[in-house]
Amino acid sequence: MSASTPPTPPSAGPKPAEGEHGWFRDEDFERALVEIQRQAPESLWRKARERLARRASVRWSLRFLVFLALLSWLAPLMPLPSPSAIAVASEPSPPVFPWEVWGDTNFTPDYAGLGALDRALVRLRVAIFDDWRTGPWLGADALGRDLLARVVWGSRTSLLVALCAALTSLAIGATWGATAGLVGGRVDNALMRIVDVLFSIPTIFLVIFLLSFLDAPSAELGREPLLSREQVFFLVVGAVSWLSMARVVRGQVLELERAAFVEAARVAGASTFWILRKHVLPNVLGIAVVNLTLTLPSVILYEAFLSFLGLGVEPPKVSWGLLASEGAEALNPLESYTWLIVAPAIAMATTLLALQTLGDGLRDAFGLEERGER
Amino acid sequence: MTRFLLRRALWFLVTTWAVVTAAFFLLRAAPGGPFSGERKLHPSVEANLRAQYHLDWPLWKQYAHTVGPLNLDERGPFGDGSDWFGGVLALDFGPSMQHRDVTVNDVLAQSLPISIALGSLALALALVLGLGAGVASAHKPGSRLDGLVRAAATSGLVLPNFVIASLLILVFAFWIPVLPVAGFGAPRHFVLPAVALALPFAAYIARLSRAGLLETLSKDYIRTALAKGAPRSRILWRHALRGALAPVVSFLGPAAAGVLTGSLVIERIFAIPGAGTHFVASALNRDYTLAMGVTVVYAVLVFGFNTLVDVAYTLLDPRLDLERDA
Repeated sequence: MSASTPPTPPSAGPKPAEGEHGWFRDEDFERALVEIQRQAPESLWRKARERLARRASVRWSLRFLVFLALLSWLAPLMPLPSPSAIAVASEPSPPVFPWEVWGDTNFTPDYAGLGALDRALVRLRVAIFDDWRTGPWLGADALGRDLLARVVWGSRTSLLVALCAALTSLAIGATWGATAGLVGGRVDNALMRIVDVLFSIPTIFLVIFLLSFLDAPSAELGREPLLSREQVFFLVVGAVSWLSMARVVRGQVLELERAAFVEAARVAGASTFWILRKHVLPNVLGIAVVNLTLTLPSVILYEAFLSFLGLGVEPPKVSWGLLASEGAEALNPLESYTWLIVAPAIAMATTLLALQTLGDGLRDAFGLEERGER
Repeated sequence: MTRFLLRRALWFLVTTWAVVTAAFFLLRAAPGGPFSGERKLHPSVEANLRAQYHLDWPLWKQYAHTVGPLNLDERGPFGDGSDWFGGVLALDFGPSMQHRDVTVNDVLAQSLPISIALGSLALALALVLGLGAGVASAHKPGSRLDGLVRAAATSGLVLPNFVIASLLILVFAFWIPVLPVAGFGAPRHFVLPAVALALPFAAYIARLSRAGLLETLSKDYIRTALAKGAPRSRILWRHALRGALAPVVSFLGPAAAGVLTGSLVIERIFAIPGAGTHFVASALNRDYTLAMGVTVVYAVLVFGFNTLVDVAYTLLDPRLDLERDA
């Protein structure tokens, strides 16, 4: 008998057989383990994933969003005309069906304002498609810029900015709310009062200030701004949209602190860090993800709103908000250039619908309720 | 309730002070000034203008003058004393720096009623449309009507309001010319703007009231009422709606703020001379006094509406205690 043999129970029974530990056989132990592992999937996240996968609408939304993300990332690779190539025209030209004009061969690569990766993608595109480009399937605006290309390239700005802004708001809001909920007492009171005060300040004012403030050096001193307009934008929007995230996270943390299973863990002698990592974090993360998904549509709408007020991305760049506001401005009773507003509106509506569906699905999957706050 | 209102009044002062201070220093910190337009002014002219609007004063004095309630210029207690009080605390925002010969109070008195009329119209419309749709859809969950309402409610949330407004103009002013494209004066000028402003909020209210109603309808007291033989419509309107209104009412606070923000865009699209136009323009033109006035008024409106909402909330649900978490 080696030293590693488990201690035998002090029983007067027959000598344990090979592979048996007294009153408790290996098979039993293994069966219990299997049983525990079989039950382990009853975790919040596993359950949420199962509930999520059951919904066809959520699956389709997810597929669409993945497709859109790929499309916008690989936009330079698409055989589209350059989104900023100007062809002087007297008025916007209407959409043409693909079977009428399939394409043209007058693409000239435009590298202005592109990063290294995008340049490489454009070079690859030229290598694959040469100078062939798609026809004006969605029409063109008054400057002759192809609308399809602009919608596809616009998705890059809109999605990226929305994602960054939502992540900024998540970072600030979750930290703020978690601190308030975990520390409690006076700190909690002070932090949440600040949130209350900020809630009653019209944030748009703050946004306008911050945008014009951070944006100014380029206009005043004629030098490159420290941050690009988009970076300013997502920092600013993230900085003003974290409030509801902070409230939600704080509420969840407070609820968890009172929860029976956290109490049980504490009684069992778990350290605070363990409880935070194993119990609080996964539960808060769920609610944070739901809030994040529902923040994305509102940020995209906010970007459109600021673009309409002339505070969005600057012209060589393009975003859905800019396209929609250009379309809204081109509307007049004599010549309705409907396609200029309909195309970006459809792009925006489908994306926001998918995000909304996904967010609703996630919320139901995590068993959360819809709240009267946005 | 009295204690709650007193505490609210205190917080109101704190919030207003925070808004005024933030707006004051942000405006001064932002590059450029009210007179740094495209047309370069002669230095002596600019110096005179700056002196006229007290921009040559030290910052603390400008701040004290802006906050009030004492008027620090020559008309105040330290001058000829013809105008003792001034500043935000005395509800006197001073002369506008861009609109010559007009005070900010004049500008606000002219434009604010229009914005408030449009905003309250939109909010009322959102409430009526949203609650109606929500009740109709919760009445028979799973029905075709329910599906329709849910689809409409989701689609109301996926477009920016200026796109909704443009599409409404396209349909109801260009294709079926029944309503004016833009303008201001007759009541029918308010139809499209109010609808465009209300739709997103109506959509959200419909979702909230549907969810709230469905939850309330599964409660025990509803089953009791059903068992006693009360008609279904009566249960829906009398018993369930009251309980289901809570989330809707608490949404009205953010909704009011949203309607105010949204009216910036809607007023611009429909060429309505409301306060929203001044909001963005004053900040961009660095019209310090007008920007201050508009910001304070908006903050006060939002705060006041939130307080009203909280009071309404307790009336709806007497179990809530305002004193506890005022």
